[in-house]
Amino acid sequence: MKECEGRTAQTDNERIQEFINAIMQVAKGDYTVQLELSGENNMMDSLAMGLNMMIDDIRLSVEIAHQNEEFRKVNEELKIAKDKAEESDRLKSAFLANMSHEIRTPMNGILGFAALLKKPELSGVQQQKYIGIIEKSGERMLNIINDLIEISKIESGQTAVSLAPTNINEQMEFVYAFFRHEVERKGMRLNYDCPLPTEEAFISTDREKLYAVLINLVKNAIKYSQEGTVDFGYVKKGKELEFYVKDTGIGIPADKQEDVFNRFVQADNSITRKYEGAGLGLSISKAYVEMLGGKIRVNSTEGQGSQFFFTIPYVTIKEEAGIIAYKITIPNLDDKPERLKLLIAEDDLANVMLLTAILEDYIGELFHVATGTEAVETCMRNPDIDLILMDIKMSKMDGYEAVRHIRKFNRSVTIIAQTAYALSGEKEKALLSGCDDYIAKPINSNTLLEMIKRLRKKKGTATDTVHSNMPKPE
Amino acid sequence: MFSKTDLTVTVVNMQFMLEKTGRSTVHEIDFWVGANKTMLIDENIIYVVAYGPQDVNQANAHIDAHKKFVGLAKGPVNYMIDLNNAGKSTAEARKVWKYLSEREDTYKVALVGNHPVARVLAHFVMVVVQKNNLRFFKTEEEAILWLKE
Repeated sequence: MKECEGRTAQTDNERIQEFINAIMQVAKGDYTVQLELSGENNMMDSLAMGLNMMIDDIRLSVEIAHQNEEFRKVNEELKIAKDKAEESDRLKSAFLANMSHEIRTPMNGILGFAALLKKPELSGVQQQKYIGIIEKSGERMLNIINDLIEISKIESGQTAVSLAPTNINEQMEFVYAFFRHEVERKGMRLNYDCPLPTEEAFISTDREKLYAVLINLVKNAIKYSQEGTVDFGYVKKGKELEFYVKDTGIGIPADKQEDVFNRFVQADNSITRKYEGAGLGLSISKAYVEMLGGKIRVNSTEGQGSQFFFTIPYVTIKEEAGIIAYKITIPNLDDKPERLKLLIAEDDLANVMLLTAILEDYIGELFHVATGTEAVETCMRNPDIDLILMDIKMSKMDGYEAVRHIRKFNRSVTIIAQTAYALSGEKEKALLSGCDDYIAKPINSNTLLEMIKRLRKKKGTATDTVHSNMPKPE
Repeated sequence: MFSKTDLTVTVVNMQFMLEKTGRSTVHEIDFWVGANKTMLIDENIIYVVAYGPQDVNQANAHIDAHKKFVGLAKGPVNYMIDLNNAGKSTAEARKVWKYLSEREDTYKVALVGNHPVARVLAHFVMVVVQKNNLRFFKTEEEAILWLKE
């Protein structure tokens, strides 16, 4: 009996030790621990049962607390997303208001002065003045549309970096040459500094994007300055080049300096703002700089001027200076144009008239069609057509398909795709379909004439036109 | 464990079983609500003998059974729940019993157990029920006397 009591006492001690162990496990955060019941339904079992249920309840509470924490985090994230969406909505509304103004203003210039040009009593000087205004208004509208397209390409991830050997000194010279006259007309000075010798100025970067950023920053510096100087240049800082554009203009208030890189934002975003523009330039520049592997920032004092800085990696290219150079070609007007048998496939009559006017000196014989099917038929009937200007978006058969049909029986004709789809990939699509080149609308007459000359020269007089087994167009 | 469908089958067939056995009162037959033996005694006392762990599915099956018994009793009912063979109940199951105890068609709930474990189990249920209609008894006799007061 004594032994039995002793064993019982020892068993109870052991069970109490089990309970203590279980409590310590729970204290460590292990809520899976459970105590075994002896089945005797005694006090020890009741203690074990109570502990088991308490542990279960604690586990449930912890799980609920964890879930609540998750919900709280999700709610917080949703609130941030909601705030962002509201802010974005507000900015887009402000943007639309500004955009409406920015588009209507040049449109007013175009339509207004186009109407005035109808007056028969206008002098030649007045006519030229009005035409100049229409041109400027058109350019302004085109800039806005280009910015909009660019920002949408950036947002949709369609903008890619295209690295190429780039002479940065040459880029600086181009920027200087581009703006020098404009700055001088304002009575200001434009200075630039290229500290690296030419042999060290060749780097691997996306030339077009670098140029676009520089152009945008210098354009802004000129736009927001009425007097003083605009300085731009770069310095080499370790493995980076730091470019700068400094002006003595109106400056940016301290609380707006971060915002100016956001889309649709100008330092003065009010409806009464003084300066034209969509507020996309700096946003595009920031995106470009970041794509090039750099950073952009601004220091500015209101009323005294702004200094924009941006960096790009300094990755040198061991190439002889001068090999890579931009060629700005101006059409040689003295060249006697060859007379061509021309097909314009275009469903917009205004565009036909424009193309006809641009190519007036080149037209020997002109065909005009408004659908892809008609273009194919005309080509089949006239295998000696020299040049086709192919619109892409046409009814019945689009331009790409028409070109594919034409290439089946005529490989020599020069075909230039001309389209208002100015997005990336369009040129590649045009070339793949069989076009020789691609030009985006609005068509720049010099660019088109240069393109035609280049393509005609490339093809020479060689012809490999296949006249036999011509398939009928679908 | 039991699925809710399994648990409710016996209850759904209650009327059918009465007709099949030719008996007129439900207390003459044992019904199984999941693992718990259940019967109607003294016209309006639902007598539940709980076996094993009591989870939320088991408890929910009693909601379905409750409605049937209330129909058979033609009015509100009392509960007498024998916890002597019951296992632990989950927090969700206790919430269901809180709901059952606090229903308007439930008069009183007597929890019965003659050992310390049952007492602990009862206590966990009693603390969640707000209505003052739930008590613990050591014997069925004491419980029935209180239910009939």
